[in-house]
Amino acid sequence: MSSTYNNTSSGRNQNRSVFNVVGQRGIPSMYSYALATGAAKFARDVVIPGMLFGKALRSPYARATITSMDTTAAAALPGVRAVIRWDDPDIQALPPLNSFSGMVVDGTLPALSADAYFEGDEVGAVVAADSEEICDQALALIMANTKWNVLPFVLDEKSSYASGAPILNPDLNSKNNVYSDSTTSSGSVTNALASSDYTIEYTQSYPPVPYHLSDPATGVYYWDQDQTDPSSTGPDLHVQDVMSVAFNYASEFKIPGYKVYPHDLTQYMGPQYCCFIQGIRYMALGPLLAKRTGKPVRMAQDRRESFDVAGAGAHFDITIGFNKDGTLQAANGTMLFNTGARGGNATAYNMNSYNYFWMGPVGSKTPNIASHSIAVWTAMARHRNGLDTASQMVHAQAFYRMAEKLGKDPTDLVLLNFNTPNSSLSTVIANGKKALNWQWHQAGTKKLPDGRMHGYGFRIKDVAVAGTITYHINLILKSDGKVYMPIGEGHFGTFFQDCCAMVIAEELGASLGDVIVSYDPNTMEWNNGTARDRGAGMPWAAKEAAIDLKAKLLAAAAPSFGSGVTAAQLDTKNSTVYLISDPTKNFPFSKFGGTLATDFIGKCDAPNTSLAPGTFPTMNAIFCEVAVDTQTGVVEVLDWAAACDAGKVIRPSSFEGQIEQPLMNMTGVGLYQEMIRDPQYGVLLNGDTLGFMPPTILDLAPISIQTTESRMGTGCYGGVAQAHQIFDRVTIPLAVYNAIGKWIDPPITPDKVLAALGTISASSVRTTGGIET
Amino acid sequence: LKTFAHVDVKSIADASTALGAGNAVLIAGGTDLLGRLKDNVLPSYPATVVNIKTIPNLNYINQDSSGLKIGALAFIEDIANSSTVKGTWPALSTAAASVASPHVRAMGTLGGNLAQHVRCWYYRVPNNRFNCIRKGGNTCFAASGDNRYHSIYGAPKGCNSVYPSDTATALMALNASIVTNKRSIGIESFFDALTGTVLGSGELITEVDVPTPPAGSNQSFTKFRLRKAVDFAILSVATMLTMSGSTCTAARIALGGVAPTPLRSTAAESAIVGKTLDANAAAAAASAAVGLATPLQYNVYKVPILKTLITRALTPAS
Repeated sequence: MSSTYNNTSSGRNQNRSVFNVVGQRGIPSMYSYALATGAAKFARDVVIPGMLFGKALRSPYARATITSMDTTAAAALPGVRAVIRWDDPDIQALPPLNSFSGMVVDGTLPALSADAYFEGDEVGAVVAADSEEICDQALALIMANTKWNVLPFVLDEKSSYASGAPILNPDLNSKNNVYSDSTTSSGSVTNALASSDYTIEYTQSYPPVPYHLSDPATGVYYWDQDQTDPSSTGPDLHVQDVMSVAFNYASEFKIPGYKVYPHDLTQYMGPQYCCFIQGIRYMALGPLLAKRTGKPVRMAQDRRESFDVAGAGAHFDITIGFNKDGTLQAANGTMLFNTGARGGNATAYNMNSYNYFWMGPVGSKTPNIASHSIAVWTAMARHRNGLDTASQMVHAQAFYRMAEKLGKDPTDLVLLNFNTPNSSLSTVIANGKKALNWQWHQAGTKKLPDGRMHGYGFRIKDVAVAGTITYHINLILKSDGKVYMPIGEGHFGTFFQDCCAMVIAEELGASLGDVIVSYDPNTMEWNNGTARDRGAGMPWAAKEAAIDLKAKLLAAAAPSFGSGVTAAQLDTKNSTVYLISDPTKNFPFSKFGGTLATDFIGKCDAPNTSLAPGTFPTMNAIFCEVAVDTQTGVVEVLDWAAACDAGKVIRPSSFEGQIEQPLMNMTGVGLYQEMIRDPQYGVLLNGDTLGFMPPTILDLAPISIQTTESRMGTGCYGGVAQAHQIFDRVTIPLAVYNAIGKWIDPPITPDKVLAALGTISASSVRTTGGIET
Repeated sequence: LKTFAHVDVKSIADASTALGAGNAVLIAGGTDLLGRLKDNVLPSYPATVVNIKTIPNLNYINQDSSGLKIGALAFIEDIANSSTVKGTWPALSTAAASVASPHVRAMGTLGGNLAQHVRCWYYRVPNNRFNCIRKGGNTCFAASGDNRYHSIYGAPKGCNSVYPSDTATALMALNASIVTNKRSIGIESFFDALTGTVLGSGELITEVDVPTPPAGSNQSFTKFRLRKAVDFAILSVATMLTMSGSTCTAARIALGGVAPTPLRSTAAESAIVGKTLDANAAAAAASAAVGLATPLQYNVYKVPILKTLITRALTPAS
């Protein structure tokens, strides 16, 4: 595969060609037994003797301020151990919630206040009691003795930005609801649009999508003094929740980081990775309740409460200019971005249309791009961007619009308009098309035998390099001949621990069973990175550490092979060290174990390439086919093709899982999932699994995974992770557009399809998205 | 859950007594009740939950000379899988198989499925956030709110919810009767637009009787939902048509998801009875059925979809 990129900057053995362990199928995860049998215990399963339960009051109003609150009756209720109001000095002493490093809130959100910013927001008071039922009773008493100043609100970004909208945060912006406003441009958009052969205007939008996790956030907290503490600075804080970085708690409670013990109750985080904001008030209030009561406190969201946070919604107005040959000349976009309730920090900058037309990494050839990005507050939920940065992809619709106008295949237009510094992009597009037997047709021209309309969806995405986090890897070869790697991060489903073990076995010449990547919650390295990160870059660091350890092992083993034998004459295999010239002379690792260890700190940097820093040299392309029943408006996804350049697949089942899971999500958000609030009261109407409708397995269409291993990318042996770059909210809408010739913003429910087809009026559909009629 | 007394009863009489004592509810599969209790959906909370799963021999599925008799405690899954039901009452087995998920079908009973509460999202918001007309209030919040899943045939008693039971729609087409410990009620009289059912104090379903279908009849059940499993019906259509050659001599057409009770569409029936049943007649029947619809602001889409479902249900296979 030709490439201008090389991996030499990405560490040693990056271009390894022989793999004995890496890439092998059929290797069970170290977690498989526990997960399959139910032996794995999650935070929600944790029970500590004497444990109390904590809950916060939740606002019944979409925007309101507490004017008075009497907690006397609640505090007197038998079984209630603590009631803490927002004006309690200990609450007031807590820093704003953004003090949690990496948290997805801004600095305007206190740990608890008298203000509620959406229906369901935690507000006013928090209680600890002997049971959740007593908590509920106490909160009901508090609610009955609370007076509110109920304020006007707004739910969607267009209404929030409109003139005359109620001002949601007058202390932050007294004029309007704008949270952030920025512009970006390159070239001369106005002139380019004027000189283009064609210009097209289109819109695209997405509603906020809550992080509807299978296991809503749970935190368990307690303080004790059972750890060695030479400086005697007070009790230690033990936490079991969604947050794994101890220094957040250290900052919050003004204690040294080494006195915080995260995740020492169970390593199983469930799906709670990347849902920091869901539990964020718990993270502040849980330890406080535990401190106040002197007992362990468990705070667990219920299903409805897990809708507190959402991926942000957005609305784009785009104008593109292009020529008859299919070259995109200019793109001008205005984006209105729904950052949700106060504290939501879904800033517009990295979701703007500029970013997605430029697609920095691959580098659009389009010379003239401009974007005006505005983020506004609403009362939907607290929004962040995060994974949804990958969901916008406003350029994808541009190529479909151009394809329609020019009678061309959008896959050809993509290849024409993006830089292809290597063959990754062309390879994944070719593979995906082959998998679907892609026969491009103009919109609304192909009818299936059963009478439904057929449509193709297609888009591309760049794959992250993941060179942003430094890892600290300790490897120890012990006297039992096994290699131990303590790892401080819990299990949340990506199986990177298994990947580390496979890479270590590969590099060290160890049998996989002799590599023990074991959970050690106290593994923590403050200033030099940590093994407490989840991911994709960690196997790369494990590789480097294993190479170091192997060098030490061979050096230590050489004298055992006789005088004059050097490490260079030795190699390893199946957990033995052998003489290369005579493999019958060998010794097991155990002979040398006990004293050998390595300590590697580093990260895989951006690739050594002429492209811009942060470049993304590997790509994926997602394709789908849909059938649209024009009489009922039902859209069915018929099949998927996910063509992904993995760089190098370390653990195949994990890699494929990273594709299957987002395609499942895409099915849901593409066809029916959205958070629905009542227009008059702002109350969440579908805050449960039944109402929010996560897809069932019957709804997931067959998936053809087309794997490319270009070895590009700076992860271990190339590439990095896939999942964040697979998810989108555009492939299904594009396919529907191809089927019926109308753009419909997701979720594409039957009412919207019928409106697009003119069967019913678009005004009879409640949606913030667009329906092209 | 709040604390309540849990009483196991051994007989229908004991259940009736316990139920009639006041502030008590029945539990069988519990798939609807427990959700309501957990979410504090209603303004009041029961003091006693009367468990009728302990009543012996109330889960039968029997066929006799008059038809099908199903005990109130028969599981939905058993009805869906019954060869007896599949063979003679396929509309009912299809409807039962479309209910929720395998887990819910394995727990839920026919009696519970018929007596379940509406799924209106205003009704179901936890902690009785909306004390609607169905709960003793004076407002239907859906009327001016988000009513995309609500009634398209009006609110006879002020409530715009839709009745959620799939088996009810099929049983209405099959002309079933609901037997209680006090009476036998024709299915068209069993439901109430505000209280759900006409069951009185101390009254509980004991059996469902389904007559043997007329000779020459055929049946269908069609459910419209967004996901392929789990969801309640946005719309459903059940039919039982008696044919003489290509002529329809009798018809029962029931609609689900359209009103606070399942509805029998006599307008659609009249449009095809005595006529050759072809695509034109099917379309005419569908038009007649939806001609009476009065959709709300956000559920207009249900009308053309219902029309399509009826048309497809009545159109003979080519």
